[in-house]
Amino acid sequence: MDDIKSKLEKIDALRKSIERISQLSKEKKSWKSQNHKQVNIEEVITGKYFSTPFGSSFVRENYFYPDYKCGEIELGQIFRVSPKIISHLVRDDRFNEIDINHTAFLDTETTGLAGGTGTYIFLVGVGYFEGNQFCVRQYFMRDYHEERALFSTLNDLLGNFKAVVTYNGKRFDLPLLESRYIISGINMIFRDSYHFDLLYPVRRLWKRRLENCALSTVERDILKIRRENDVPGFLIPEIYFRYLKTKDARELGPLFDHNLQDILSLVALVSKICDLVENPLSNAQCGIDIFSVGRIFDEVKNYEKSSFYYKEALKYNLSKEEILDILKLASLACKRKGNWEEAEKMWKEIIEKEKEFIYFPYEELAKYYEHRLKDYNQAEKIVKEALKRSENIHHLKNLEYRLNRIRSKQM
Amino acid sequence: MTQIERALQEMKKHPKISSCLTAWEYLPSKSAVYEEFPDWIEDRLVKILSRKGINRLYSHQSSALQSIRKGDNVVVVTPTASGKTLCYNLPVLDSILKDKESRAIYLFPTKALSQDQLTELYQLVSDLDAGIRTYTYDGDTPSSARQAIRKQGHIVITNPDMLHLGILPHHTKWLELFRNLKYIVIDEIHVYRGVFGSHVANVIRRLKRICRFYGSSPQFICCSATIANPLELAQKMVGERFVLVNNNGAPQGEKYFLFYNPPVINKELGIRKSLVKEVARFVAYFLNYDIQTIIFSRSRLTTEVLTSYLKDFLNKTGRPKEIVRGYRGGYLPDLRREIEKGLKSGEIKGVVSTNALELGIDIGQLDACFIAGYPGTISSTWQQAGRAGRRSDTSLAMLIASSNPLDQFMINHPDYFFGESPESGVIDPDNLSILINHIQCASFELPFEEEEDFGVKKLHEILEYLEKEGVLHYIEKKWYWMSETYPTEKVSLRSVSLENFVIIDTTEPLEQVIGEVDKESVPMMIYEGAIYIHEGEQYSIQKLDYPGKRAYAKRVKVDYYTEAQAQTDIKVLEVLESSPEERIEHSYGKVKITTHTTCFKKIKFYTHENIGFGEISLPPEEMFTTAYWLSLNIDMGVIWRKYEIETSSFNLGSGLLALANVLINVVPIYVMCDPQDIKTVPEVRSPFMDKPTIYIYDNYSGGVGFSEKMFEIRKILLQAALELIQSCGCEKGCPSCVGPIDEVGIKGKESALIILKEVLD
Repeated sequence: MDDIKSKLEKIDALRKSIERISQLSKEKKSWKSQNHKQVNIEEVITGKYFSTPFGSSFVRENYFYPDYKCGEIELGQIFRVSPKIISHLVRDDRFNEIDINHTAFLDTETTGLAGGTGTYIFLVGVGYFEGNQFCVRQYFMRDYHEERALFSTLNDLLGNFKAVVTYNGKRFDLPLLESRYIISGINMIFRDSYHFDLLYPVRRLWKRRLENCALSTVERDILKIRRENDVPGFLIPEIYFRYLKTKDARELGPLFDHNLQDILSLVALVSKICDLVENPLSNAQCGIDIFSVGRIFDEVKNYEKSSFYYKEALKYNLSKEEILDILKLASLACKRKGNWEEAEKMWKEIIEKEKEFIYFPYEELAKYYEHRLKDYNQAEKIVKEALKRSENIHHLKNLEYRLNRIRSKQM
Repeated sequence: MTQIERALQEMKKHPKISSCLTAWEYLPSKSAVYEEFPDWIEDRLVKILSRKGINRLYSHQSSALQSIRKGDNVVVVTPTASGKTLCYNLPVLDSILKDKESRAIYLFPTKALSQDQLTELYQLVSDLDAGIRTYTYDGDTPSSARQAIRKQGHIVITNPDMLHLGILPHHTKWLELFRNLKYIVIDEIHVYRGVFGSHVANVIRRLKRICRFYGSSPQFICCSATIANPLELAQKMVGERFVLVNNNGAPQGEKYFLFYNPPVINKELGIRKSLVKEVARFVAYFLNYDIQTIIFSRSRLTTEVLTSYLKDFLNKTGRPKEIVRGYRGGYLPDLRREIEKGLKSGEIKGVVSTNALELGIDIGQLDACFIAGYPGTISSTWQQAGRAGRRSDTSLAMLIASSNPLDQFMINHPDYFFGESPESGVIDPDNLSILINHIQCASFELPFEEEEDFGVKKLHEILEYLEKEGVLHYIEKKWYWMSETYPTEKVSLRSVSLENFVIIDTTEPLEQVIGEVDKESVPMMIYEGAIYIHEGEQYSIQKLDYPGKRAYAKRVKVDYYTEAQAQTDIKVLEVLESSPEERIEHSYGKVKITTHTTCFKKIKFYTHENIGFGEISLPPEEMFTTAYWLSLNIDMGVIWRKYEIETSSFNLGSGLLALANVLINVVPIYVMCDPQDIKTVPEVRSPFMDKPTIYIYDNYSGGVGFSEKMFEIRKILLQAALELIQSCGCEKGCPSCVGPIDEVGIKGKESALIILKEVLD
């Protein structure tokens, strides 16, 4: 008893000293509030324990039938997705042989977003099709010392899969998982699996019309999912810390549900993305979506298709800025596939549509007349016009240089 | 006869010069002491070295190798250019050749040094052609290259800040490195002194802890400039036993070390000829003899002014201006590389530098070195002087004094300089405030275990404290990090921020960044109206965008430069504890230090006359820290009657200043810090205490606990101060005790003694 007392006194003295030195003025967080009731997790969440050589791990399982609807999309729709579209989007041919039944949908909840070795994963959700159902398993760490047990059981499951689908997993979930595995001293089993990170296609397809690319925004605006009683992501670490301190699990239910919904959304989102890319004309919600699909084909240098979709996009009702953007890319796609006349038409159209001076179409036209048509008079005319209108010093320099060259060729 | 000797002989003939020389020291040449390569060194390595003309080792290199082979940690202390880097490059490369998996970390205090080291190492490695990969990893490393470095780098060259911020908190990404780490090299270890050093020592503790986790136990190889206690510093820094290697076997040419005191030009006012002009004259003279010269100046401003003068001189004598260059922090890396190369190739004949070139950047060895103003420590002075001195030829080092009291003392007491041992490097890794920060960082990296040893006695209590604070969570005998925050971000190893302001030249329509300045120097260098001199060109600062960290400048041609005036005030905010005694009152508490730059002077080139003022409208820089202060409770009237009238030996102002200076010499020993870590403010009548008072404050935002410690050991400090003054052999004052007479006055020493005797009675 005395021992404890002297220990406490020592800590108190140290605290005083530390406070004086560092002049801590911040409000003290009250730790371990006494009147908190301890509520075990199994009283709040139906789950079971998996035992491992490193202790046991708490897991919740949920099953869904393929006709379960996630917004407007049924989970089972994903079986109609052509693997070619995925391998095209990921640019990884291994996806050509992808089997949805060997694919894991994965999302983690963590003690922070900063990354680094002090960020822990306390909940890992893995969804997968099994038999006629979609199963979601959620592995939970009841306290820090269960980390090894968690990753050990997780390994048993992940060993079954060849591919993984995440949202921002490339930058966040997977590196963090790898890091946690290393610290736990367990060999991460599916490090070599191939990975479809949905954040990248989402950015390419919808960035222009979404407020941001957070999964919750995509759910709301693209998948039309309404979440009820959801926990905002930024509160998650705090809730977990509070649970660690109080051992009161009552706040954890919504947290498990949040993670579960993320995983279901991943499945729906794969269908949504692939349907749009495969058949934009019938699946697009607006012209900009078709334009975005066009850009995806542009990136793989399929100008036939990209210029087709650009032209289709232009048929929709669009703002002036949007039209100019599309015309610019469309003109370049035409140029690259050798359809110069059409490109020329578009450059002229840009000049006509935009009252302010834009350098781009003038430069393209000048290049076209000078190098392609070798029509130096036309080239000179367009450069002179640009010189009259431009105010940018770099552009003026370039234009003058070009003009001199054209003139020397005229002679 | 060498060019240097010819030049010196000629110079000696001028009575005006020779009468100002206060020391003419001759340091004889030393021949090399060689030893054979040990037989266990890989043949491949010996072969490529012999292709470079290295067929044997110097004695110190050989000793270092033997100790390292035995498994000892080694600290090598030899002069500049004695082949120190081979002491670590050899064992490191040898170990990688023997085992492809071996890894090493090299730590350098600055990015510039890392870059320089990489160039040298790269040469060796490409000659070896054995697939050894070396990389620098610092803030400039592009993120695309980082992954390859983490996985494949055999030798990773970095700095303590990057280790602290970028590597340790992400140790899992460095799996290969930490699993196979054989050597940790800490070069220029003497730089890690005081608070900075105490931080670095804790970063090393964290590093060792991570190594233990991955099952490696690397050996340490440290190098240091000449300081009084290299072995002790290394052992404290690393927390392990070391072997000292200092049997320098490198040859040295003979060297002249001269002290020059500019002549008095105004006897009444005691004004001496300008330091800058005198230095410029000497350098011009030596340039005429085609002697390659380095000039060290104490500030960036003097560096630029001197460069301008020398370029003017070259212009007048019809020689290319490019053979003299400036060199200082703030030049962009490419420009620095170019200057270093020019020096090595000999194209550049003179370089004017701040202490940026004091550390081991490879610029080859030059013929002559001019030190414009005493650098502040004996150790630095020798470092700078070491920049001149080829292995066989004669070289020259010359210290030219400013009128600053410390300079005047040194220049007039050469025996003191040549006889005194250089300064000690003091660190305190267990400083509570520093320690607690790093224990948090370490907890983030890996949970602490019950039985773990961090080299700290109070570890358990601190962990329990952090647990109570809710930062750590204790379960099953381990403390885990329980916060969303990233603790390393809040802990800076250095007092100066790494934030830089850029200077943009807007003279041409194409704007261009010409240099950068750290945040602390902004009020002194790039206020609106300042003349910023860069490579001898003048720029007028037109606009300072403080939040945007940019200054916009236009090239100008004016006949003056500008100098900002700063004023420091101390204000007591809260007394934490005080102990009033009969004749003295000791206190410590929270204070606010305000530094305000309010105006600048325009100073004409060459005549150095003041030709105008300008206002600076920058917000004052405020620092909240802790201070210890002592106030005298003695009836001055009594003292005056007792001493002033009878012996006329007492002056309060001198006494306070003298006592403050003594305390600056005494305190670091007892609170284990560097003299730079604390600052004093003596006030004859403190507005707060209403009495004569000396404040000593922690020169770190937030304070690091020195003030509390000073308060605790106040009696010991005063006793030590008394003993120091009494035992000092000087008559009226010197830098070892109360400071030079020119600074504290003729009555300073005596008055300080009287005060101490009165209060200690």
